[in-house]
Amino acid sequence: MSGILIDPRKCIACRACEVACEREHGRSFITVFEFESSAVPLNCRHCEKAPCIEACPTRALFRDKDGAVMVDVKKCIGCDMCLLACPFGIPEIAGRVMVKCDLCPERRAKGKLPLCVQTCPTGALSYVEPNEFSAKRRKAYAERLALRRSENAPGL
Amino acid sequence: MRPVFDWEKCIGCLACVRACKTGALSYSDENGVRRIAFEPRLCDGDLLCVDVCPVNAVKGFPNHESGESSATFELARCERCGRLTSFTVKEVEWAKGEDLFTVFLCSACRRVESAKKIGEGLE
Repeated sequence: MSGILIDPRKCIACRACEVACEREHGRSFITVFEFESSAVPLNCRHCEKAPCIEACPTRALFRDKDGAVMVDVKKCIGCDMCLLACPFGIPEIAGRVMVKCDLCPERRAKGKLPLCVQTCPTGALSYVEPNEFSAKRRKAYAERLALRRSENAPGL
Repeated sequence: MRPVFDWEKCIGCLACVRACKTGALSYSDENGVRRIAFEPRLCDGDLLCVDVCPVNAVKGFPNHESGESSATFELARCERCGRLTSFTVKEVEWAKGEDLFTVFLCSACRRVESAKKIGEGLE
């Protein structure tokens, strides 16, 4: 199950993801937060154990075949229980139903990446399996460590 | 079938109000207080309110003559920015009991806090 994974080390806070999302959905479901030493683009985490799905009293929230947490607008009554449950503050109410990131289902159906991932110029957003992401991070960390070692103790 | 509301049990979350298609259930939020009211003359007895209630505060009874009823609830403030939220104090207490969170934050603060945590993970 792939999701959008964030690498804040690469985010330059250009907000191209926000613009892309708005172009695809009419409003942006991803927000870039800027801090003193980092920038973090935040969207729905599509949690494996999603508190919003568990909290929904009308079973309007479900997981699609790609693992995306989706809203069935016919079942959603806009009751806010998912807002209460979500630790990331992601769900919003618009037009009396909940709206949030859906990982661009029309693009996924065509084998394309979610538009924010496609657009990010620095690779801060990636649409990958979490374990694949971890493997890449492990390797990058090991490389940094090896580099530091060779700089500090050349020839060892 | 007609619904009967246990307002002691009710946490004021509005799931029933939003599920109700007849307008028999209504609410208002004013000055930090939520008022939920049930008007039995408008009720068609479909009991959608019973289905959606997260705390089983509504029950359906056959041939029951429900009277008009209402309850008020204090609205909760974000424990970080202090802003008034659309959740009641009872609802927040219930959610804490359900282990949804230990500190109650509004959506805006939840986003900032989680983004900060993701960013801080780097240092």
